[in-house]
Amino acid sequence: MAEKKYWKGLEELNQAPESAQLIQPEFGEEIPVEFFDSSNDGLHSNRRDFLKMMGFSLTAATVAAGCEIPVKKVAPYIFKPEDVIPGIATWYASTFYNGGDYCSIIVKTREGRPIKIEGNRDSKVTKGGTSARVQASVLSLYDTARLRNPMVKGKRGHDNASWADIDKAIAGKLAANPNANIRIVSSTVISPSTKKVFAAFAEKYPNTKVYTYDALSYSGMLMANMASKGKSEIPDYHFEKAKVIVSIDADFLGTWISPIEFTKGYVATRKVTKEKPEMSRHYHFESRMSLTGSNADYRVAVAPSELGVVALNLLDAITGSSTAGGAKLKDEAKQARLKEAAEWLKKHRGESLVVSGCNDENVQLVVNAINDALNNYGNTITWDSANMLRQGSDASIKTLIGELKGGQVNILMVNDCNPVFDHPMGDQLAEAMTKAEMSVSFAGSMNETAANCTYICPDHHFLEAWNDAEPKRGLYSLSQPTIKNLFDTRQMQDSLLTWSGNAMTYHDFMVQNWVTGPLAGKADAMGAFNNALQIGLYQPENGNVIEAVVATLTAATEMAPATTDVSSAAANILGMAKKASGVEIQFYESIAIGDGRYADNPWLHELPDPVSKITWDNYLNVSPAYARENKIEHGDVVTVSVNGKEVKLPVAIQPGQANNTVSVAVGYGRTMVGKGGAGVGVNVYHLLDASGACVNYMAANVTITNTGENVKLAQTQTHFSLNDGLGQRRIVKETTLAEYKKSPNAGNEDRAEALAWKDITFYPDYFGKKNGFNWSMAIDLNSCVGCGACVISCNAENNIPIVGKNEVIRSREMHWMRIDRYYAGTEENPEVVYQPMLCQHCENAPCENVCPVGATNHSSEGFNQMAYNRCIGTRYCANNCPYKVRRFNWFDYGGADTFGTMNDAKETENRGLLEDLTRMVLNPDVTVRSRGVIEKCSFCVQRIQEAKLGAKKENRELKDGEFRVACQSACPADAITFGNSYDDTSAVVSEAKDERTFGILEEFHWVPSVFYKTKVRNKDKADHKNEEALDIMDLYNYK
Amino acid sequence: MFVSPLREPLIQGHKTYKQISDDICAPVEAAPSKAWMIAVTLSGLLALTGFTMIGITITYGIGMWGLNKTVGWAWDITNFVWWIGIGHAGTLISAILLLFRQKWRTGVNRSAEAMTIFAVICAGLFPIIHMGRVWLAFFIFPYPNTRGPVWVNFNSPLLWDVFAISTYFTVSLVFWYTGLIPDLALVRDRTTSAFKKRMYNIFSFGWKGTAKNWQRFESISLVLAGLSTPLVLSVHTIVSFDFATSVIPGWHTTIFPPYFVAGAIFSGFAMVLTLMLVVRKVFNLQEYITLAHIESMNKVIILTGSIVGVAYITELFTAWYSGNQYEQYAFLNRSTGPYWWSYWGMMTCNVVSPQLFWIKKLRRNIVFTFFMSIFINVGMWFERFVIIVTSTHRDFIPSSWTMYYPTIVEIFIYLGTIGFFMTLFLIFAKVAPVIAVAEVKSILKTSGDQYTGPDAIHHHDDHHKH
Repeated sequence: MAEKKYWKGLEELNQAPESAQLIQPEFGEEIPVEFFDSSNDGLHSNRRDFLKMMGFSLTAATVAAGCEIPVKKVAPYIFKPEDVIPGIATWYASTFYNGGDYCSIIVKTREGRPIKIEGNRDSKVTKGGTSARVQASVLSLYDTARLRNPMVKGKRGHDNASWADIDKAIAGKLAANPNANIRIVSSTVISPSTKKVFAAFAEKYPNTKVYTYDALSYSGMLMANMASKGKSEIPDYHFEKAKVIVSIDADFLGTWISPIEFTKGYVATRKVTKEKPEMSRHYHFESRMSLTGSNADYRVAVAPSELGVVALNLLDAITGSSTAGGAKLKDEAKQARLKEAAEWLKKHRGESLVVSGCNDENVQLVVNAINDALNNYGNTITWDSANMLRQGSDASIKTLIGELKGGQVNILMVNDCNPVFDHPMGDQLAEAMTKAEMSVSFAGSMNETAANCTYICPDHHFLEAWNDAEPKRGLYSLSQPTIKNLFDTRQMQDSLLTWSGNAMTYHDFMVQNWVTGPLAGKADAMGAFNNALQIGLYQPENGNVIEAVVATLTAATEMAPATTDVSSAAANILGMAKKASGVEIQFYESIAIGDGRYADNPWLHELPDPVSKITWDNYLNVSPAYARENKIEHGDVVTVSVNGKEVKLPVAIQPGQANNTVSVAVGYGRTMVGKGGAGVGVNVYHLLDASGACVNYMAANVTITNTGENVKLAQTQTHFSLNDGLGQRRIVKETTLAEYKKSPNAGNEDRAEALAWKDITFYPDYFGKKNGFNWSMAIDLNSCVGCGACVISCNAENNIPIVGKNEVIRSREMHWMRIDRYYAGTEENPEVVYQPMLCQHCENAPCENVCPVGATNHSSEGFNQMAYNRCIGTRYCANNCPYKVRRFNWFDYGGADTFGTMNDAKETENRGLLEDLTRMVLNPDVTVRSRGVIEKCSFCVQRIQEAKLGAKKENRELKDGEFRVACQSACPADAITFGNSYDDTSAVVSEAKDERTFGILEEFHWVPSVFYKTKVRNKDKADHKNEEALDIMDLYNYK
Repeated sequence: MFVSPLREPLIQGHKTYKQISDDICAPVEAAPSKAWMIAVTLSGLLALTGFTMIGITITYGIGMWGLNKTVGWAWDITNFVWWIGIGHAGTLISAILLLFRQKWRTGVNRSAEAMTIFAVICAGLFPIIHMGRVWLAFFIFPYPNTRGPVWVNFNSPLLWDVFAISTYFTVSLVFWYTGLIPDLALVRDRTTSAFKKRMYNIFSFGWKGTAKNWQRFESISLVLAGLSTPLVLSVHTIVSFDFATSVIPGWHTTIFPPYFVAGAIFSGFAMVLTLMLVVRKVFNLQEYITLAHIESMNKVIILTGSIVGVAYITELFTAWYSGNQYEQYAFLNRSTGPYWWSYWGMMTCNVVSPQLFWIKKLRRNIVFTFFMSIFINVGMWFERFVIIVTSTHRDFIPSSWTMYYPTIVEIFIYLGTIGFFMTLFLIFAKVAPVIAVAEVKSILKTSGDQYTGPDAIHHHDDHHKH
């Protein structure tokens, strides 16, 4: 049958040429899809199939699109930068210096972003150690609170401005009156070139004065050294040479002057071996439980007012004088311990060290006298490489306020300090500042002082800046930018140079300063400078060789020593001690937040205080006895009245706090601060008494009244005794030095039994094969001081999320590495032990066999590894982990997911940690974990892999010690050893063979890959309390 | 068949076959009562709240619960084990008691099996929603895939759970439904509504009641009973492996399998009693679920409760005898630690109170039995809470010891499953006979009170014996 023809119009029927054109295919060409062409391949697909497939694809695409897959843009380099290879890190040597904290560092950058800081092992000062603050400083580079451009004060707050306008205004002002009275107030500057910039500025504007002050002052010590030694400097302490160390409230492992350097030195005297079973003996007198006190062999809790009495008694016992005039410690046992300390000191003349953290000239004078009497000067205390890290004078701010009030200051410049917040007279300063015609702040982010300034000229972050530093006289280090400044900021030195009419950039100025100064004699001065820059250090053998570079603006730093007589100091001390009554308070610097300048760093806020294990807060430490007597509970909010001023603070019951004394950390309660630190803690600086020559960090006659309110403190560890009532859990092993000398496995005798079962297994050859790698770690409990540098290093390396205060209260902190702290003995004066705890990478891991999907499994190199993609989040592994090191992403803390508004990690978000800027700190080698998966320590597998690939490229075997895992490299105490346990020559194997070595819960045969070494205390066996229960299990109520 | 004169009659009121059909089908045939409407609305709302909370959990994350770094499971798995345990009575009654020819099972088996199904549904919910990434829950099935393929970890007790529970659910469902078929046909044959007739006809698979039908029915019942019997023991054994194969003191306990099975039957019977005491009253079925039935179940409760009690004490002894400090502390902490109340609540409800059933008067007292059944279910919930939370919250390393407190979300998910369970049960009671009519009829001639017991009508053959 002929095909029936349907037609739409007559034209079509009649095949008019126009309509014939019309019915031609609209698109002239054939669709070039061979697949659908039935003619040539026999697939017999046709238009209908095409439509079907298109329909299916469309539907599938619609369904898939409904899942809102996020669009993430990756922008390729158009022109590849010369020194950037994607995936390969570039390292720069640089210097960390922030308000007295110094560290020589190397900075890891990836694709141009600084992401990790490591210690520079070539430094003679910090020797590769770091601190938590140093580790965390990379995050502050990406702080969302950083000022993005200069600002000028407007009617309401500060308005954005351009550098041109600012320069015009300031330079104009300066030009109008070159003889204006200019005051630059600054924290201690250790940069010789910066000092020279100041000098150049002062040359141009002759009425310029630089006032140096330290928020946490060492003024008393500088004054005492001036008086008795004729040097307004801090000497060079050689802890490594000291066989007996007596500290009178000097937290030298935590916060005192140069803790990284001192930890290196101190720990060097604590590393006992069979061959050299010797270690220093450390006596510590203090009122609060400090990090250093908790590491002491003998710690004596005394009231703050008694610290001077301790010093006088030591002096008397050593020299036979009677400066104390019969004043003694009230407690006889403590007095006896004091005598014992004096005896030990006498036995070790010239190889002992007495230090004090009191900001009181009198006490420091007595301490100097003690060290003199012990012949320590020239031995454990030297002046050649005097410490430059604290140069501030407490008189400076008071003078400044007086001058401002008197209208004697035209222009005020504030550099790297925040006196309105951190000076006791900050309120007065804020008011007086308005009297100056112009005030300029160089603050990189808004702070309380900058808020009161007419102009804010934001300084670079130190990772964006050029600089030099002289932390100790004659030992220099250099900073170089590791990234171009992220924002429209300008280095303070550049601003000053500009305003003083110097066309040079600070970089050129600094280079010139070096090549015409210290390096002038060199054949290739510029080359020498570049060499120094490359290693970040210039440490000539003859330290004083570049003295010329330093242009000091401070008054004469040396004069003839006035006197070594301490009688008037003694009288002052005894007078103070007599006056002190009632409850005494001490203000201290916290490990994490310092004087308040780290208050915008969430990593540091979430770092548990080494002793109290409290995060995200400052609090009033009270002794358990005081709490009981006054019916105060942990977390109760009390009103503290000191020097006529009041604050409300939550109470933390702290074993070891001297009874009838309390203590609180300064630096918290910043009001002008970014998201990272908003609303954290209470400012207590205004409670300090600055009326004397030095700011007094202690006060007596404190009244404490309970408000009846109770808050939760975000504490990561609430139980603190290893004695569960049934006996001591053998998780930490301890011994005394005397016992250790007798037998190197003292305290570790029971290991033999655990080891007897070690190699028993059902599986043939399970332990026999020793091919390739089997990674293992050893941690020396005798070296670890508990400072927390490893915790933050791990944070930075492994993209560990911050969860915020409420989540910490709910015990959900994510730290892969934590430091467990246990007490033993009495609540008045417990023994403390720190134990870094991380995934033990058990060979028979209990977590592995329980995962239903095999998301956590064992690698051929001995890792217990996590496949995040495979994890469905049953948390069975976390339950079954005996060490409780597995962490679950309860919410989308990492911001890895696409949940967007469906994320309830609100605190993480509110702290600015999920913003693009902040996330620039993430390590691209480590997966950011998504919500609902378990994570834990990976032994820094990415570092191992990188090192292995490096060796493979060079076609050689991986060498022991070629790389370091993050916690290991951060440790200022070198407590951690890591390596291949199949390599019999590796350091970790020799550690593992040591008699002090044990594994935690080894008797259960999980075969952990992390070993610990027994803690050895240099004390008499009778005083060793580690087996005793600390009967305060219920101190922290379950609320 | 010989019936001991000591046996109480299990059907009272001189029932005829017709009366049995009438009585048991009455609630199905009547219009829904006001009480039923209110009950189903309330439990439905509760279920809805629970599902909302589950929605919140999945939307925002497991962080909505009170769990923490140390306590990774708490109410979720407690509820899971609790519900699974409750299910066990149904299977025991329908399978093991069938094989043992216990006639009293006929009065309660239908409801008990329904309870099993609904309890397993509620139980199965928890392992799924407790996953951090529930959208990847299919990873737990061993299916060929393009990722290697990556297989599941056959060593993990959680995986065994997947198999155990899915098998259990399937067999229970088939067994229950098979039993329902003659009764659904009965309802079909009695109803006057064309729609109902059509529906019941579909669901009764065209049952005709022929001899061949019955013969096949009996065979399949026996086969399914045979299949179910090992499941009664295996399911809770495997659930107990979740704990027993772990290393945590208080979990790592080899007596867990029998102890869990006994506990499951214990709680299951308590739940059957709770339900049946209400059902017999509301549906006026006292003559089919008699005091004899209740007493029999109470006897099972004494037995299983005592087994559980012995297990608790054995655990304490083992902890002491082991010389293992961690084990010892786990039990010291259970009984004297911060969660002491849950331990002693468990001990009181599960060990002490069932012993009162040794007194005959009490085990035949309906009000007392009802309260006891609630007690036991509370106690059994505490038992799982004690095992899960008090073991993990203070395990090996004291630095990590924490406390666990539930959140509102967790509490309402639990209550929501109770609401869901009740809703399902109420719907079931409305659409199907709550007592197996055919099975009850099968024992009428031997256990009806007109044939046996004090009220029996004397029959012709009795005279011959004189």
